[in-house]
Amino acid sequence: MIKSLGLNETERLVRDSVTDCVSDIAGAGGTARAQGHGALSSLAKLGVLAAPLSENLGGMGEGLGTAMLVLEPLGRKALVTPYVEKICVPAAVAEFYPGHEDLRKHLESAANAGPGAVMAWVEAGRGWNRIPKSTTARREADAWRLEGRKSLVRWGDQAAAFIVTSKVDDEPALFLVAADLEGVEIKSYPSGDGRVMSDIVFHNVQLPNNSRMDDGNARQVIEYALDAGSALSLAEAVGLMDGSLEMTVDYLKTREQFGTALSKMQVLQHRLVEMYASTECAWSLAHEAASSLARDVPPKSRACAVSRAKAYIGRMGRFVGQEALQMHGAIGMTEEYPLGRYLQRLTAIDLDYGDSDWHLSRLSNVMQEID
Amino acid sequence: MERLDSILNSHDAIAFRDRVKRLLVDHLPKHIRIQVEQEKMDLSKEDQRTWHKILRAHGLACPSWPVEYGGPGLADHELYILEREFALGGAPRPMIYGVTMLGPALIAHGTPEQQQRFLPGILEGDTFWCQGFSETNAGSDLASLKCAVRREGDEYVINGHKMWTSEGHIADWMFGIFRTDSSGRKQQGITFLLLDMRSPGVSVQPIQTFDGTGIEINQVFFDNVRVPVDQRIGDEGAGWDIAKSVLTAERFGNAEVSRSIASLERLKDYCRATSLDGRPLIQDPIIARRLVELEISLQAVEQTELRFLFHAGDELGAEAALLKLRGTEVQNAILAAATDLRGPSASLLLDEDHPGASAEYTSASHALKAHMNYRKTMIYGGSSEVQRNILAKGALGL
Repeated sequence: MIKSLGLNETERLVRDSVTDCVSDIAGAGGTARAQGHGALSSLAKLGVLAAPLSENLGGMGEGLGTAMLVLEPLGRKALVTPYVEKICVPAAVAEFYPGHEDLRKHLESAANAGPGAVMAWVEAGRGWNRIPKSTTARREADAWRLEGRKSLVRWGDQAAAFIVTSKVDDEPALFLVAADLEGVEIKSYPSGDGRVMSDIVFHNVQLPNNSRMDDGNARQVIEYALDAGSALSLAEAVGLMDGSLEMTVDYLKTREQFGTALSKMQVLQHRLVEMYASTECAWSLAHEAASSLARDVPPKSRACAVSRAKAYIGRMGRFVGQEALQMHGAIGMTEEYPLGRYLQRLTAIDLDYGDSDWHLSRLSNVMQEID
Repeated sequence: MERLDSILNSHDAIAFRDRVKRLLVDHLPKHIRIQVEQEKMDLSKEDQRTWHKILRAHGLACPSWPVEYGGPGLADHELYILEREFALGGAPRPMIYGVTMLGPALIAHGTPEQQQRFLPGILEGDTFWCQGFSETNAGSDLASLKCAVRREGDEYVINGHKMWTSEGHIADWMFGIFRTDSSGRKQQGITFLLLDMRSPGVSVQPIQTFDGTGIEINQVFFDNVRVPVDQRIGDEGAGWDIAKSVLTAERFGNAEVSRSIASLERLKDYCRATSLDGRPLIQDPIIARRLVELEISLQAVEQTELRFLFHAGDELGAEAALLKLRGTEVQNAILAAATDLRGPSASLLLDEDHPGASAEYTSASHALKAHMNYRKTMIYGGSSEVQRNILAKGALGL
């Protein structure tokens, strides 16, 4: 129900082609996981998965923000995919290391709906802290040895490799670790929104010399990549919000109680308007956050734009999803009706890459540091 | 999705911004700036006129008017910059009823004779206008207004009243809508008239508000008030659409985003400068969190306003109502916080010249007055509930 996404002609064409491509899949039934996989395969054939990548990787070369054109329509149909994890976050890392051949191959694989690589950064007992502590790597002759564990790596079961945050001599570092190396142990768990998350243990894994990606700038890269994940996931969230709202408006127009359509009741109309106003504002902030990923934006400005958007949309996304469910009534609680998937996914997006509270704390810290 | 900062930071835009900033530094009188920084919304007639004449002298009065009517002919992004810099620099709001509301309506709907007669007084800041729309039983349901007009030859004769007339006690003239026919739909039979407040039969009854800011609103009574027919704007019975266009004329700024940004900056400055048990307020995690949440809510409106203004273009319709809805909500939340954070002095309400009051007490009192006074922004100009009705119909098709 958003009036205008503010896209130019080229952007509109890309977004419309994504919308057309996924609309049949969403209506065809099947599990959330099967639908998500089907959407990715179709979009790969269309060639749009690569959109946010650089031109030599088949992308539009307009920056990471272009991912919004893919993610917003996916959200609108509640298609849950590893797009942010396999394309956006690795692409953000690749902006710093364009010459890294293995990373480039994984991005190409992901752009063809293949396994790709995902970032492994969460550590047990440390919440959303982005800086690695318990995972360590040490030099050993012409190789590295990696020891430690990463928790709940999103889509970890199907990735061919992990971009692992690790400590080297007390400083953060980044390693690209193939999933099939000896000593990599993976244990997977399902999530409420149809994903799989994996605990990954590295048992003194021997890594080739070139597996270290950073040149001492890992902290900066980690912050940028996770800001990219945070910001771009919000485009999907806004698609989910607007999709939930539209579904609710349509349902209330057809549902009659007390002799009148529910959509005629002012108490419900005003609640729909609150959902609508929040959704418009959400797109504005998501757009600002995505724009802040341009490399000429200072890190502090980017952090603020991303965290403002993440905190706002995290909460408002769940508000919209919960209101949609409430106004649908019992039908919304069923598995058959699609609304529950929207609410699960909106909830999951808030609770990923740092929840609203974490981003509010981050903003508070920035504001206090200035003094 | 071109980046807006390229529009707002072009060479010309920067030069314009500098020009506006310099004007404020060099010419905004301090006693006026201080009142604005105390969140006083309605300044005295004299102060409003003083500032308007300064703007006029520098070619920036009536900023949204086209050049052929004496305005500066600013582009959209220049208007945006002007409004932002005025707010940040503590300049008063424009003389809203003449400059923002009536002027553009006259330009759109007035005859050349009416334009020549009334626009110069607004442009020069000599005529002070008020708006006669609401009545005791015509508030949100404005079209049910009853204040009656009958035609007698070349004159209209008004009998009835107008209610909540802001600045009616200091206005020279009123523009208003009156009922010339009650036989059809209530939106029909409404006529838009201009009248001299010194006309025989006009009486103004000031209404004291509870917030301690003094007189802002009035009830205006009409007892056989005669208005020449040539002071009618548009056709007889065509007043409703003109009134609606007047109410939506404020494309910029009725969300008051710029004013709220300035208010929040002042609040942050206060939290930096004020200590509680030896620590600046801003270092308190709960206070910092509250400030950050206000900043997020404000940024949500700010970014939406920018998106609507510069991307939605002519498609902008009912959606603009959400700017007023959300903008006045966050404005009130900021001013509530500005009172809350005063600590034990928060509930003081002092006269302006209270003997011996400390700066802390005076400042707390101004915060409380603003907190209470600004509740009106969610009520006037179409209440928040009316904005929701507009959005339900216009944006959601309900």
